[in-house]
Amino acid sequence: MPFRETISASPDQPSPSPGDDDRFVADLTAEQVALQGFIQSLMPGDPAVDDVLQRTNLTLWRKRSDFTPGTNFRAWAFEVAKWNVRSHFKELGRKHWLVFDDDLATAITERMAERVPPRPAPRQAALQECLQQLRPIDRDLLLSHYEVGETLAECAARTGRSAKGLKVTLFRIRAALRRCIHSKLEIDRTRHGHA
Amino acid sequence: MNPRETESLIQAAHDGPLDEADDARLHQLLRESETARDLWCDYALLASDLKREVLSEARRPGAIPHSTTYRTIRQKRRQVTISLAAAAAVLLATGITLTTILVRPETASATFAVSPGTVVGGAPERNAPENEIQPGQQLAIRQGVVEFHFPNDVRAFLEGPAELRYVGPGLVDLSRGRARFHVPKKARGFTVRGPAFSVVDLGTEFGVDFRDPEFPSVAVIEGRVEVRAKAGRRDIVELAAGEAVELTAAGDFRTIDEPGDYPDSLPDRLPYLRLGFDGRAGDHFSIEGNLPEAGDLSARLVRHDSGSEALSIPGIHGSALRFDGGAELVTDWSGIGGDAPRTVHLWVRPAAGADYGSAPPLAFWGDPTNFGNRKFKLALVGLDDGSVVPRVSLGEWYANGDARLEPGRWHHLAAVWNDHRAGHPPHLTLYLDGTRIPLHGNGNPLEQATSTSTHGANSRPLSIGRYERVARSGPAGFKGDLDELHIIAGALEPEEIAAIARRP
Repeated sequence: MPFRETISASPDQPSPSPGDDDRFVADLTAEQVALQGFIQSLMPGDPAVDDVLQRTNLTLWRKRSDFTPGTNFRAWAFEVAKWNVRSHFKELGRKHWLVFDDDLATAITERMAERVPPRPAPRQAALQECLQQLRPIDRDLLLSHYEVGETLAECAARTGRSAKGLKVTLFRIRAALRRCIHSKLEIDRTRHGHA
Repeated sequence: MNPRETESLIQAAHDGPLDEADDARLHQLLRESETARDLWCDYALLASDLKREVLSEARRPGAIPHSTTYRTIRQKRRQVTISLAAAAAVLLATGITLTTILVRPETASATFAVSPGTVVGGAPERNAPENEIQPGQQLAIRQGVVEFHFPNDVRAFLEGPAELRYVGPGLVDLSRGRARFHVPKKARGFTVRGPAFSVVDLGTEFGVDFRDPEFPSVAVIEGRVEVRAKAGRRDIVELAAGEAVELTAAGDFRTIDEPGDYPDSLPDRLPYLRLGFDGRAGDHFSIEGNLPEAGDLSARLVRHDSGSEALSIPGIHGSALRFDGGAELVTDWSGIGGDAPRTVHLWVRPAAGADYGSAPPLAFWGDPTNFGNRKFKLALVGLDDGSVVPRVSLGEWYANGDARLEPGRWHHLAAVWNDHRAGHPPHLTLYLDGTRIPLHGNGNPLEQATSTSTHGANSRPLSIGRYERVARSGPAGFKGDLDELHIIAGALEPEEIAAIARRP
């Protein structure tokens, strides 16, 4: 888990029992992939996604006594994450580039909570299989793009390719990947259903 | 809007800012269409998954194979027959070139060649030629110099310890090391991302020095570059030929007068300096070697006590220098910093009856002040039983060698420090007359890490025979004779030390 600080319960909060803490950590761990994806959906292309995720984890931990065991942990975690994204934008004084209003953010939150699978492992495995099906040159372009985090214009200037061409190539690769992942997860679900 | 246009707009939003019209269209689309919102969520998840995949790719077993030492057959043979110094002379005289052949890259992959003695723990892909590196792979260079050929005829020389990740054509991540990049016009835009700033080429030749994480610097040799700080005020500066900057802790750039030195060829052995005490002109002595800065270095004699002197006498090879306890040879070389691997070896003849109780240095550099200081010192120390033994001090801890030196007799002494990340302890080994000797000292020196400070306010350059503390109240200097001091930017192997210690 990407905790980078020493975390401890605030003295003004009732101390949860060790068993509660263990359950809480298990829930929080299980939702890391979903949380990261959700934060990504509210601040696409922003390099601070991991920082906001870290901040969200800390907030969740500090407020863990607010969570009622047995209720929807993901929904609660997403609400906290949404609040942290808004706080991040506010700190930056960001007024534009995909700052969703409350209604739209809520709509995205609802869809995301439904679409993220409860277990990340099958999706991760599907992604890896689908990546292997790409041409090496396409896979390298894709991974380099996500590793570097540069804009298409920067990427084009660096590689000597046209920004338009890169955009088309990336579009094609990502669309293919998305379809491939869906297809593999569907096959997985079908097999699982028959088992 | 048709499905493809919708998908294209959503993908574009994940890649960077949209213009005002597209931004408005996207908002409207997401508000109105559940399908669009699902697509939006899918691409957010995909982006998130791909970022994680990039990280896991870097950590995947096999991405960083175990260390490999590149040593040519020629060099191995040489180790057991003649000394390194003699071998170097033979190589130079006969004009023998390195045996590694470079292949010009035709694809996105890059190729590399290494100098003898180079140790690489890195990432050539399975089934790929050993000297090829694919996009996304990284090389950890423990010591030595590596020459890279990237696509578009970009060429680089990188001196270890260094860590380079080849992201793809036109982009490398360099988290450590000192390098020179030659970027032809057609590769304009080639970018080196350092730990604290990125350097974007604007058609040029430039050098970067990331050896000390606290003082990263860049210098332009020809043409221009743009330098972008990653943190702090995120300054951006453009530099022209002859200009150099260093990044301060505040995140802004400070101009430095000395542009620094950067590797520009593959040396025929590990980078080194030699002070043979032969080229004397009055109080000045020449320094030789193949380190990039070697040509600019010299040493001068400093007399701390009135009447003190350092006489030139016949030595092991040519002249040696006799120290009388009051003389010090001070160079203008800052030494090897951090925990970079190093070897210091020399010939020493202790003076009969001399007092070595305060462990006078034979060779030393770094910060000698305060408790927990950060220096590197090879010394002799006198024990209570009257014996004289070698000592290596790395500041807060030291180790004595468990073997005596005989006053009035020449001994070969070598200390080897290995990068603690290169493997398991011990990191320090000491050799007397070519034989490894047991060590004992304060703390647990064999398992300690070290970090020699070469840029601190109290850091001292390489000094020989004595050192003065900042308060000018240093211990007495060394009494005896020294010859053939070598400092090597890398850890020599035991058989190499043994070969050097065999007197011709």
